[in-house]
Amino acid sequence: MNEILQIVLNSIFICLTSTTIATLFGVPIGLIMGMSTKRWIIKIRPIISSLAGLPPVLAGITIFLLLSNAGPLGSYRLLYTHTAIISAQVLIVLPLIIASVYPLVLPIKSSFLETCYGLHISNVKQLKYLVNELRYGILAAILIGFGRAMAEVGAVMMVGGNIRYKTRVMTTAIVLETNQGNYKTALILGVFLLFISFGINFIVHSVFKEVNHDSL
Amino acid sequence: MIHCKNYKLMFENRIILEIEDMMFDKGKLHLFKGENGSGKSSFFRSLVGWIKPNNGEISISGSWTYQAQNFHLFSPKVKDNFEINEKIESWLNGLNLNGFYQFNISKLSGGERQKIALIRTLTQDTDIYLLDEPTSYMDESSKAIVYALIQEELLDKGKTVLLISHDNTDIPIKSGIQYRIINQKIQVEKTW
Repeated sequence: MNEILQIVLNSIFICLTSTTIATLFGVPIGLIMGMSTKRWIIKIRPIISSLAGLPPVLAGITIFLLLSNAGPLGSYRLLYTHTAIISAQVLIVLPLIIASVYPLVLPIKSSFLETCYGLHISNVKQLKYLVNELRYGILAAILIGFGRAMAEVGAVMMVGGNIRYKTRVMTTAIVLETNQGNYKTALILGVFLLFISFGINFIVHSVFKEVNHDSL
Repeated sequence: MIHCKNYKLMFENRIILEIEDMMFDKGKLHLFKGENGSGKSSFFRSLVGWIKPNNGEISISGSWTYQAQNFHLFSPKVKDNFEINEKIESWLNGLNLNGFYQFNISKLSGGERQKIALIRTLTQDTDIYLLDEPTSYMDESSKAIVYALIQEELLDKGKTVLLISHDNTDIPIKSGIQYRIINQKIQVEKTW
């Protein structure tokens, strides 16, 4: 297979996997954090928001130390594999999704909870209603997370090692090709990355357009 | 039946409402009136346990449904709020909301939203219904239809209804007890 195509597919596979994992955990955690009236949960919200803005290289070094030979998970030999990259990306994307989802709940929280209480709606059903209610915002949060995973370079380089045909993804390949003076390949990869980024932005904007249209 | 004893509700060191001993009989309409901020909504909230009174006991015998003044409709569509059946369709038609179950919630007016919320409340099969200003945004003819619905679907079936309303005119319900909250006390104003 063409090496460029292989890098593009590799990137998409890794980012889709990490975003899916982060979504499966992040969306319910975000919704529960938004709905909760427990003090300690309200207190950790700013921490989650801060984690969403932390330098990704910190996620990289955390995963690197965990998976390196001397680390607690070193025996599994996961460093410089897809699993390592996916783990680092989950660590970066998860707080981003949680921090994007919980504020969606806050404007409707009071009336929503009081209504559910008055109608004796179970917690599970409340979550179902919330997902339905906030689906546009949740989708936007997931797309932002996917975009963040696609754009990541430092952490991916650190734990993936940028190994040809194995852990090389678009961002790390662009850095390598540029350093080697292969500007044409770097540019082609850059165009692919640009198209994917535009695609994500187009979807997000379409979603927001629909939300605005709905509220008219 | 609802029983309140030695009840006291306070907000920020201010007494909102005090009840020594009061019973609200079952199968009747109990209509509550009072100025804004007199504690009507807070009283309802405390009856169902959404907020706790500072003192006293509240006992409710029977199941209940509570419709808050600041209710929330589940989106995106009206049909997300109840499962449509023949009965609900007839209620919707009666309230001039024919075919509205397909409508987007965001397109509804204030009065229409209240009608949908009330239908959702009526779909709950409980003994007691607490309705906090369910008709405040409705026009007079809609109010008449809603009260007829409350009479027919709740009171005629032996359900207890506690209702908050600011309407000046007498509400078209066959019988009931009207209370007024004045000076942090609930007083019986009239029985009809």
